Amino acid sequence: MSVTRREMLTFGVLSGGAMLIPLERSVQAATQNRIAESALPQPFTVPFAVPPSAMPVTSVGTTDYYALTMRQANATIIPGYQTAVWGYDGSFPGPTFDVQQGRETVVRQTNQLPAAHPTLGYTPYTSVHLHGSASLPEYDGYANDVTYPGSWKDYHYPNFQDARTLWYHDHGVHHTASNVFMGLAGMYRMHDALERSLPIPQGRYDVPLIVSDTMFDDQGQLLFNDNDHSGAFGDVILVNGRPWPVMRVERRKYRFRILNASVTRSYRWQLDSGQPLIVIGTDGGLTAAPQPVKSLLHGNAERYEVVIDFAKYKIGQRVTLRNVSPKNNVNYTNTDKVMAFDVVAQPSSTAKNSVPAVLNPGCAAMALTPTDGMTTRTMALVREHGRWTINGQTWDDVVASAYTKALASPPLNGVEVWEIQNDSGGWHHPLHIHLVDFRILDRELDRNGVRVAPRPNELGPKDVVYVGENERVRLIMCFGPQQGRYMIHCHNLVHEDHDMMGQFWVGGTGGDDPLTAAPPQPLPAPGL
Amino acid sequence: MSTTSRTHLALLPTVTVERVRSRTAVPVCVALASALAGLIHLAVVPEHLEEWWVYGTFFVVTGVFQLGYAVAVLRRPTPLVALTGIITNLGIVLLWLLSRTTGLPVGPPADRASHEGAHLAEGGSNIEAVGPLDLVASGAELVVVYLLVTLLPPPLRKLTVNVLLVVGVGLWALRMTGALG
Repeated sequence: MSVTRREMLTFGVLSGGAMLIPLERSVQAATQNRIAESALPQPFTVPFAVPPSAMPVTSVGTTDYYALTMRQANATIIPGYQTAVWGYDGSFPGPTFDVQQGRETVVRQTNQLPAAHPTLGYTPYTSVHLHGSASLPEYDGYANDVTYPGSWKDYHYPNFQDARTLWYHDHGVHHTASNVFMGLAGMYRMHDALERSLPIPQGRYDVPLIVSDTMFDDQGQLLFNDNDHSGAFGDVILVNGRPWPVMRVERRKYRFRILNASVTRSYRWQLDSGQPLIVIGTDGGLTAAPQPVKSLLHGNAERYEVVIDFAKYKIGQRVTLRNVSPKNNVNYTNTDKVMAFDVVAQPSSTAKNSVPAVLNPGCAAMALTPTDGMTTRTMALVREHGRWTINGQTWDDVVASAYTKALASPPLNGVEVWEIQNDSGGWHHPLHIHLVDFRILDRELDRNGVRVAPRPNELGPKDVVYVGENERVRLIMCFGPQQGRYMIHCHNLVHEDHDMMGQFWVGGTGGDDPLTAAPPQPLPAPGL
Repeated sequence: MSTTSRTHLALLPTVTVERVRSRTAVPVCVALASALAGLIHLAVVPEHLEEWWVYGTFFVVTGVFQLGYAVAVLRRPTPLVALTGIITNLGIVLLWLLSRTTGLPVGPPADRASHEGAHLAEGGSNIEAVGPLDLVASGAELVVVYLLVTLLPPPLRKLTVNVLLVVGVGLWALRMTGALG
């Protein structure tokens, strides 16, 4: 077989075009658009800030009314660049709510986002989920209960639960990851009499830390890459929307409400001084007793309240919060750094400056114990045929069933034990169960048949559980007080979108229909 | 007989054997490459079927065709069979190229935010990332095309090469103008 030079040239030109052009595009999409590291700020040079406070527009009786508009705005995240973000009231992250137990809130959410995502091109419908709230089904942010641009919806929150750190974020079906990545997230703090009575830091010494990771393109715009549906990782760590900030602190205790608002990345916190973090609260509120930990494993959507005592340091000293990355994250040069604390002054107030030995011993979820004959269920988290599934089901299966398919139908106020299984060594899953607080009973590592106690930081009410590689975790929870359909899903939002989400139906039938009981409406909206 | 003639006659059996070997080797190589591409296409049928029945069906038809073609080219490596193989394999490569650059013009009914049964289909990018399996399949298909060219009679071979050159240059032109990639 002989070929002429002309034929060789032809084959070369055709092969190059056919193979290299798509390859170039893939490589470009993955890496070459990323902003140069030299354009990023040096860690610990940007001042720390807290998000603005959400203020009610009116109050009637025991109900406070708020109005937020989801809209696109420009934010200065990387100095020298204006980055297009999506924020509640244009804020990145969204305003922080401080609400009192026993006072209901109504939050009007208006979608004024643009007609299409700036780079991904989809129509940005939204569904707002108040994570950690036992809301009625129609106000829980059901994935398909979406508000399109030009529409609004009033969300009613009962606020009857124990004091806790909640957060609100988008939950729009199949676009949760990219919507949250654009900035649709904020903190919501519920306070109660017990919390106020404790001598733990409060007021300005009670500080939100919304941690996320992100990536920028060479124009300074957010660059979302979900790595073939495995996860979206950033090379810049943000705290309250600021890259590796530095916070000025006094020589006293501070209470930090750390929220992992990353789309995919998990963290392990450590102070570079070696000082332990004192965990006083988990997802569902204060723990029974403080738990000192040298390092704190933190999965997506989990919230931990930790106290750090800066009295141990001299004025002028710097302490940094580091991330000793758990496995199966994609790490970059400075993703091992989070923020710095510069000790600058003596305390201006010494009130509420201690951590008592007893915090909240009366948490209902932590009092649950398994009994013989109690219903037990298994939730297997599996990747199959290119999709993320729970017991072989996806959210598309729920949609296809006209929203009737459910992974479980526990009776109202029924108590059950659920075992969450991750029999893969390739990834971890932060599993979130809506509506309930649960207690982590135990964990089986590496499927060796030996069950170990929960980690010290997990000894409080939870609504997200870190199911590590080759782990099986048992949970116990009471399903109530609401009846109806609620979601269960992986909170690696890329896994959630593709399509590791199902639902359980409290009561088996009945409960408000999450799609029809309070549907979004087109603008204009009536007055609050 | 002259020395030249004797030399020519002495070389004749070797040249004939080499031509026979070449003519046999080419269809075998084509068959192997076609079978490889066919097997890859059949292996990815389940995930494409889940995405959309049309995709799944396309992969079944393509895979079966490529396996069948492997047999056909071994039995009858004629110019017509060669030309059929060139056109179909080139078409498959170009379709793959489209799916990895601008996206296919047709796609599944995409994400739906169904609400009271009356919502819009959600569009979105359907450009797929390049993976190792599809690189191997496309590479094998190009090998099929090039080897089949050598089975064509000279006039048809020259014409085919010209067409392939136009296609190749066209791809690069589209890349330079930003229409591709």
